[in-house]
Amino acid sequence: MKRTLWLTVLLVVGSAGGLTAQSLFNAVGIGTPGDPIDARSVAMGGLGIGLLGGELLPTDPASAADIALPMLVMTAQPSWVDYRRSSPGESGKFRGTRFPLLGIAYPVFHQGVATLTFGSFLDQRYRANRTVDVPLYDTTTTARDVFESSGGVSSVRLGFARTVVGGLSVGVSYGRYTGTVLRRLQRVFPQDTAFAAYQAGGYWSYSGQSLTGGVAYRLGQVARVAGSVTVSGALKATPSGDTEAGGGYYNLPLEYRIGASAVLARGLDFTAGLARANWAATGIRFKNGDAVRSSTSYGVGLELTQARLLGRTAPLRIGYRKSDLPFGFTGQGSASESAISGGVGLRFQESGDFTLAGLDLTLERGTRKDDLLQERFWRGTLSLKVSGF
Amino acid sequence: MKKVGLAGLLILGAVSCTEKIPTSVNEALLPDKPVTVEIRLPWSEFGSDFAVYGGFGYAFQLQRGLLAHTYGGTLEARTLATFGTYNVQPLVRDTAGTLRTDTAPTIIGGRVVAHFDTLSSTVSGVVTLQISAIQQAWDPKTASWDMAVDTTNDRTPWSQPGGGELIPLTTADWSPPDGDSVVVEIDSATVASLGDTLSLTHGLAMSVLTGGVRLNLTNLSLNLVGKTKINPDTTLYMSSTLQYLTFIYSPPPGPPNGTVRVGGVPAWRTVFAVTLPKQLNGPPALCQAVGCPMTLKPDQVNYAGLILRTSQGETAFRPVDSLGFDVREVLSPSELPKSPLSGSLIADPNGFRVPAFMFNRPQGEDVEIPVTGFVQDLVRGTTTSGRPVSNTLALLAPSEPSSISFGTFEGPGGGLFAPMLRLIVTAGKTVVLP
Repeated sequence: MKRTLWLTVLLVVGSAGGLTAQSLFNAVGIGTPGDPIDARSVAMGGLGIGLLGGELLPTDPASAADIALPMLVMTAQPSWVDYRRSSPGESGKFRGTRFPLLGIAYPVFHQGVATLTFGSFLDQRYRANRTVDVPLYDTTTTARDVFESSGGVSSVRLGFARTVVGGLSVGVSYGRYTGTVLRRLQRVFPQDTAFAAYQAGGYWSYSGQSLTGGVAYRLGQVARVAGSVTVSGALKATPSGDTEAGGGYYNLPLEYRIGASAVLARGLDFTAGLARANWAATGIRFKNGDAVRSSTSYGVGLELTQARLLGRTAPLRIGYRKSDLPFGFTGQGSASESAISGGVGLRFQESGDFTLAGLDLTLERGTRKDDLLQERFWRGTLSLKVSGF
Repeated sequence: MKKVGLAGLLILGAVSCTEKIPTSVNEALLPDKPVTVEIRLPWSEFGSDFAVYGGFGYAFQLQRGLLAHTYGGTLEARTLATFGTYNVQPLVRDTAGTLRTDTAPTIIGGRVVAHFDTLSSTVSGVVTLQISAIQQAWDPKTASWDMAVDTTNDRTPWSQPGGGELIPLTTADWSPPDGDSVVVEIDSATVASLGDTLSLTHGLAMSVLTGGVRLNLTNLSLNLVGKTKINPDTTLYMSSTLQYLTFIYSPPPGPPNGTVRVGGVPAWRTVFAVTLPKQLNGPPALCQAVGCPMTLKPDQVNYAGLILRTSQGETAFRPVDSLGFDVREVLSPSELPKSPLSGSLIADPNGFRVPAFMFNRPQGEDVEIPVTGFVQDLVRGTTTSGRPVSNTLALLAPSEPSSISFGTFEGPGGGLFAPMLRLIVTAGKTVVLP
């Protein structure tokens, strides 16, 4: 079993698709922020904080304190996107998969739980084309410009959580931002011209640090309230030796999250969360006019915890989430993302209150839009959780 | 539990295999447009040290023959050939029906079969061919119209130009519409002399007696006709081995007189140095986009082509079939004409092909030979493998020699038609982070 698990881990870490999202909003600002959360959190409003039960969530470091057994979480997120853009009009489809969260939690000498997570932060992957007429000496040929931005920023966090007293628990994690981006412009000529393609671009490596602290209070088995704050240093982009352009330096926002869950009735849980990141205060200015604004997100969700499927526990979940996107194509519009979600948890192996092996599946239908661009997407989230190994 | 891990592995693997990157055709998502311009450098701005060298290779290396009589008003050409010893020992069925080897069959005659390349020959109607016996010692590797032997230590002229005093043996008519080969019967004495490889004078000469034609001979074979004592009623047909096939011609082409000349037998090469401007100060579109003067970089050169204007050249040597042209770096220009050359800059091993008709038009035609890799290397100063690049180029036939015809182009003194260097250059602003 362990070998299969590690194979899976390797697949996720080594996947070429890596931590990539699927949005043309990746083209604005420094990319589209993506939360490192699992399928259960996505299904219940998508903010990754304040859920009942022990979870391995970088957004809620204190929740790891309730993890009693070693746990491994892997999450994949395929999506299918239709987009429509005005001025100039264009539409199209794309699809892709990202792996927003890979993590491991391990109880340490009954003192608490150590965590190591690898999660998404900013997605910068997109491509854009244009056709250009190239006047030559006695004729005109047509070339195609292809710009590709490939890469993004991830976060590796090492954390620790423990129950302090009664239902009060705290967690803290130290994170390193990591990642690269390749930005490349190619001009490709028709084959019959025998012209070699023109290519210009650069390659940058990202680095930076973050510190997340969280606190949670659990009222027996009926309610839980949690909050977290993430403080980040500047994100530094260092050009490679053969990159002509200079580096970049981006202040990252202070991020607050708060969430709560409560048992409304036997087998019915309710959760709600709120997050805010003050991107506007970072002072980032983009030469191309891309707008920067602080983002507020909220989400709500319900979970039928005692639903069963084929004789096994299979919680059913629904949720709704709305988030501001910090970067938009214009300064006037407000870019945002909203989605409704539904999901199910499949428990393959349980021991008492512990789930030793399970798969959470979530399907979202959502929209991302600003004044110029609208994307409608179907997005699946699959989380594989294994405990007690 | 194991099944769970495996299922996870499969699901995660499957969903990761369907990437289609978000792609837009929106102008706003791309960096500033680079600009692509065409620059044509006249000879005076890039070329120097022009020279034409001849004498590369020998006619025998072509392993073909050539026949001509007053072609183009002047060209005479004859094919010379030698055959190996007739070491034939046929298996013959005797009167009892048993197969036996005849170690000494009697040769009673022979047939010379000549095969022609009808497409690259210039001929109309029936032509008369003549086979003659060579009467003088000669060297198939170095023989020319005037010289029977032309080696370092021995320069012996023919007793009379064109193969010496030839003894005509027989003639035959050939009509190209009837086929691409002709059979000429020869008697046993001639067959015997052709097979005497110890004689320095052995060999035959084939010539054409009809005026105004040029025939490309692709192969010459000698078939022996014999009798055997094992079974006197049997006639034997045996083949012999062609030893050397070459040709001699006259007059040789005149000096190139400042034109670019490539090809021929022996082959001609044209060499010249290429010097690129260190900085570009135009055209205006380029300066407007990136500012001038602009220092050229290798990856900004999308294309470079050498534009040559064809010239008719001498009628007798004008191409009648497409010609291949090769371009190589001259690795040690100071050692010209014997400098080593780089590998070919033309991807096609047959060279850059130019149709024959382009050399037949009085006004000439522009031929553009791509040299993009060379110009990129020249801008860089080294090849991609790090070897210092030579700025001297040689234009030559892909294999020397490859045809008696050669290509002629206007040289540096050709005014508007002198060689030009065409560059397609793209430059843009540096791609930066947002």
